[in-house]
Amino acid sequence: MTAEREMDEQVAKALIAKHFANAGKDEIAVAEIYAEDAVLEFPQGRERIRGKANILAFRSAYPASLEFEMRRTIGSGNLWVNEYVISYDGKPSYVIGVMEFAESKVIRETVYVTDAWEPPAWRAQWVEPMDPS
Amino acid sequence: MSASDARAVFERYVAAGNARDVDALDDLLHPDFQDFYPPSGEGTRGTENLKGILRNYPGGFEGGGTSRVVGAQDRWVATPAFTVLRHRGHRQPSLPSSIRRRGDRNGLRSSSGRNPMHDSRRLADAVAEGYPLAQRHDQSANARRLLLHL
Repeated sequence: MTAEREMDEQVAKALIAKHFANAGKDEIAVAEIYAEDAVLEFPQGRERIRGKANILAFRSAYPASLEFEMRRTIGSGNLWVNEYVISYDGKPSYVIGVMEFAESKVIRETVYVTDAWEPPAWRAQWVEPMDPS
Repeated sequence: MSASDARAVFERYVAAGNARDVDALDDLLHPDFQDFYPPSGEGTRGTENLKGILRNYPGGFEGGGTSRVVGAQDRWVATPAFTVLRHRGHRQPSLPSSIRRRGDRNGLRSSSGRNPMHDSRRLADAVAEGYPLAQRHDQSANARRLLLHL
């Protein structure tokens, strides 16, 4: 196995920040982060989208207005994880996206989306309201 | 901590949860471990609070896996665990995902979600007509893989 060159942390964060700054606004700029043969997966829907062109087409045709609120970007080397909130036509969903890089491009992104839920009463004694930052 | 040690700790963490072996967490989690559930705005601090939740979890859970574990260097073990979790009392299976940040030895912070399987129409099928974009993929294929990128 050949060792992949690890990404510089500041470079990775800058690429990801630019990606999300354009999310929902400029899908061509959003797609710049992907390698030509990148794979985007939504395990909950058992969907896989292959290739930068299809990712761009998918996002360009999305049938809802989207607003993004970044919570955290964490990672190192070629693996980065983004936590964010997407509002679909104003309805927020919570998202975890796992980005795997090679040669400074995303080659694989795995995205999980979930709705908000009310905190259950039974566990309130062990829980505190969280700081989302 | 080496990469293999990090993966071993994560796998023991999942195994302890599946076995309801709450006391095993003492060896796996930092005393200041934090666990956050962003979709509900809940957070727990310290292993004792997490243990309280796990001991009292209504109905329990089963099937958590380590079918795909990805990480980088020795700071991280991150997983979307593709094995479907079924929570008793819930109609839908959930796909668990968690992110753990590593401290000196044990995990310090975790963000977790229980993500219901969504109707694919929500994300792609609505636009798939005319666009050969989305393909179904075999989740069991993922379940057979155990990948570690370090």
